[in-house]
Amino acid sequence: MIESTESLSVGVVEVVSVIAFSTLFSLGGGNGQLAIIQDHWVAAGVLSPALFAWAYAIGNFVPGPKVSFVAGVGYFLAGFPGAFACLIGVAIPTAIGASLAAHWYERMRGYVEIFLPVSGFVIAGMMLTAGIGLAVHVEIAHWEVLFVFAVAGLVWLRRWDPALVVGLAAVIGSLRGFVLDSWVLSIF
Amino acid sequence: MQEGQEGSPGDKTIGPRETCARLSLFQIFKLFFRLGSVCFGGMWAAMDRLERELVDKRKIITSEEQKSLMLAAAIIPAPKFLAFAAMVGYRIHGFGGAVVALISILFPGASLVLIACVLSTQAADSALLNAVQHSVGLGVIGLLLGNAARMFFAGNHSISILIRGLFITAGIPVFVYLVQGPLIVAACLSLICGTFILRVGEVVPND
Repeated sequence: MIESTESLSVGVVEVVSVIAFSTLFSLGGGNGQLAIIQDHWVAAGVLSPALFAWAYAIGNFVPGPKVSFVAGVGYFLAGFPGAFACLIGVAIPTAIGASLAAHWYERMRGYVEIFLPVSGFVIAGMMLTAGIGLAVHVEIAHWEVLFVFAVAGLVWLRRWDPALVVGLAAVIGSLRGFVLDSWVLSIF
Repeated sequence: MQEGQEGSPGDKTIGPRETCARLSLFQIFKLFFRLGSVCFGGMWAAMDRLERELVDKRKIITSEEQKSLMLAAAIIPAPKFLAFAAMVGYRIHGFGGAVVALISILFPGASLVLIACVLSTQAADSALLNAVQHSVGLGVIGLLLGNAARMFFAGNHSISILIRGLFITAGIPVFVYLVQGPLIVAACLSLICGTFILRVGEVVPND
């Protein structure tokens, strides 16, 4: 099972700074932010992987920007002040960056485009690191490894939407919780 | 901005201009709060809805400007949908408009996430919730790995570029888990070194 963490020891200043910094890694539409959060709080044992994944999953089901999942991360880290701090952390660099980009879009594009070709590879590496980081903190049965790779394949090749993946995983989890647990374990 | 009111040809900005439809901060709040409540699936998925609201109905921007802002939102270091909202807000009302737009588009989703997290915390001892969280955790791991593969292969690169890209991508987890280095350092090093690695052997066309 997933280990649980009941830590509320993170200060709001730390939350604002880490989230603001992680926001800078959303370049090119990739969510490098996940990797920074995973590395800073999940790998350090401050936030349980289950809660981190849970907040991210919920973020895929709500309307508006998917980055709203950080409110859940902040809440699990430091309660309501943490949630508010996360939103401030996302808002500050975005407001400044977007205003500058809106004002000097053509001039800035040249500089940003220097890093664009490599950004896909870097963000892929960060997401790979985040995936590995989550996996090493979760107890995974042999048959569940197949499930993880099946999901990865469907997301990659069939472009499955995160909401679909999370919804399906939640349904499987519910079924497993209700009915299948003893049956599957008896087979494997 | 209305049709026929484009900036001068030499204008290198898409910032606030006198010709842009002027809304009060409260109107900006209402507009983006509504968009944040009804748009699902991220910026690209909400493209039609955004066009209906910003281009057709309110005529705040033109269709071309919407595409240009969406492209700009994708290349600046910020979440795309938030950055797009902030840039439209900036066009309407300057920096204040940007701040109001991004807060109001973020507010509905963030509130719902918060409510769901509070409720799930109260049911933390439930075996069913633990089973669901475990499955969702596995799904998120698969999602991260799948997205990593998608990002890696995006762009239809040549085999030569992909091989170099493999070193850049694989270098990050190797640095983090084998060398025990910080992820930030790994990412920054990869960004800088990768830019040079990809340019090695790049063919410069002769005019």
